[in-house]
Amino acid sequence: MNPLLQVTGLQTYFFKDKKILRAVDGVDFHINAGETLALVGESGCGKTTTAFSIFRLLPPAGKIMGGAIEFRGRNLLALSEKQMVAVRGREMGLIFQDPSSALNPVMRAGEQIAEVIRRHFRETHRAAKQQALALMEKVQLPNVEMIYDNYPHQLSGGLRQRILIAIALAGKPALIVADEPTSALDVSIQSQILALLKQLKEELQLSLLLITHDLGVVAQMADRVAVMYAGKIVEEAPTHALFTAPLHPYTVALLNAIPQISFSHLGGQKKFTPLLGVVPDLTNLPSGCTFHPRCPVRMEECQHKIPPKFFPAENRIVRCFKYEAVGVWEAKAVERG
Amino acid sequence: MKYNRQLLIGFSFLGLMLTSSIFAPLLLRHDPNALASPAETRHASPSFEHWFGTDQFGRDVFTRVLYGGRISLLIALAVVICAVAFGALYGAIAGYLGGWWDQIFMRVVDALLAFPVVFLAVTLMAVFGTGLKWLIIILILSSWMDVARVVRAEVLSLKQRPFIFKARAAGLHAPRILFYHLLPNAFATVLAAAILRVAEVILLESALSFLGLGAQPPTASWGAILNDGKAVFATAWWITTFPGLAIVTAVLSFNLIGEGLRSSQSK
Repeated sequence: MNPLLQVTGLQTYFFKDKKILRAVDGVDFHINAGETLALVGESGCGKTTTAFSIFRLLPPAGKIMGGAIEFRGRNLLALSEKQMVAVRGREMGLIFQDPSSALNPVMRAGEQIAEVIRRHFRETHRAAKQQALALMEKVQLPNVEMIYDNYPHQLSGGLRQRILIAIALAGKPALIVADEPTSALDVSIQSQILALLKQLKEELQLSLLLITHDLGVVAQMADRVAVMYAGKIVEEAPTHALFTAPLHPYTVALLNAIPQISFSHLGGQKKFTPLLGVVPDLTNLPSGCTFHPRCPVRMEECQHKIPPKFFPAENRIVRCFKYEAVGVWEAKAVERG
Repeated sequence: MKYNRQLLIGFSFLGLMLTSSIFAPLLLRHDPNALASPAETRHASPSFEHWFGTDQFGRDVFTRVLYGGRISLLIALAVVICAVAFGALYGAIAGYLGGWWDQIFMRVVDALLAFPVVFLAVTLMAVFGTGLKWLIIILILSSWMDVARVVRAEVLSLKQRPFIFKARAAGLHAPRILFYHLLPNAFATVLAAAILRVAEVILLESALSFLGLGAQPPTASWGAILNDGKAVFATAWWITTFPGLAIVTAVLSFNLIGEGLRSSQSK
């Protein structure tokens, strides 16, 4: 079966002051129907740009330079803008990071759901309102009649995020892209929103592309994980495998950087290792493997050669020379099998 | 809400002027255009009977200033409403489309702004004729560009806001985004710009009427009354002084309100 979404060799660059910023530089991944893929990485590694590239909604400076985005059997990059407008919202919905700024401040909350329903299904105002109210109940909003008529500033962050989820669902899409859906929320609200997303995904048989830097969210939500660093996906694995046996040194460092809740270390023992350094300047990337300046196990060749994809085990992909020997062997095994 | 002195003063003066102009026919005993038969009531200095004196035809200047206010304020408001409707649409489209379209749209605005308005008005009126109709058309033609610029700038910045991204990601069509998401959010900025524009239109209308290109005798407008009195300023100062004060007060009130609105937004 073909995957619902197949991204191959996606390159999205930003052009600013004669500099080229390679925000997404050769990204491959796929999402099967009903699956949740988490795209993980530090801020500024190109996660959000990847998401917006799928919608073909980039700021004026951004441009998709290469690759293909196959969605339901057609390449979205080959569609006209007019055809693309019909895909957005109807076939794929987007959930935003900051619910406080993602709602129109001078339009009633419910109307922002209803307008999307009217746009995609040619409903009357009355029918669209009824459907919007039903959708608001589905995202577990209380007092839907009242909240429908509220303006965004009258609602709390959690309620606003539920409205945004309802807007993303209003076109009955097959794929939901959630860009840091819980980062701006309180911890208690975070778990509610995640539980809601999980439930809606099962109920509506959605595929979910979850973009986050929070590995706790990944563990809770994802079927598979793609780890992104400086515009490239450096490791891809099923969630359980990634957490129990991370391969790429960057993934290892990310996992070690999670503070653990533990009371045994009150004597002063450190339970986590911070990941030192920052994501490199995307306009001036290091040679070879882009992670090598921060890598604790770097080798000579990492500084000159860009690591290709290696396949060290079933369903696992890693871009690191450490797995060169295993990778080749495994790839051959796959071919034979 | 914080107490805003600019708005308070501006609205007080403006309210006074608007109500006295609107209700002028009910408040006043004199006819604005009635000529006095006895010669001694011409050029009468301010008195209890004639608060602002009389002009060379014996007409009551106070009456004419209030009636002039009806014409001047009405023209200014009508012009600005039309100019804002067109300018806001033009600027919003330029800002929303962006890129080359934006460049073309805004270079047209620059070209029009480069024309000296009074010169343009004199030329056009020499060709098409004088009178209120042409005055209004020329004022609209010369007023919408500023509004277009302000709205374009506002739309350019609003376009980057996440809620516009949300609207686009939901697949909404461009007109829907323009009219229901961008323009309503630009309303406050447009309002402040429009009110400042009213002040400028009042000045421009007075200038053109003073040159004899606006309201034609015997119709009173502030600029036209100034024109009536300019020859006798040395002997009958009241004919020019009072409409002049009316213009100053009106312009000042609109500026205070516009500035007040603008500063209350940025707080």
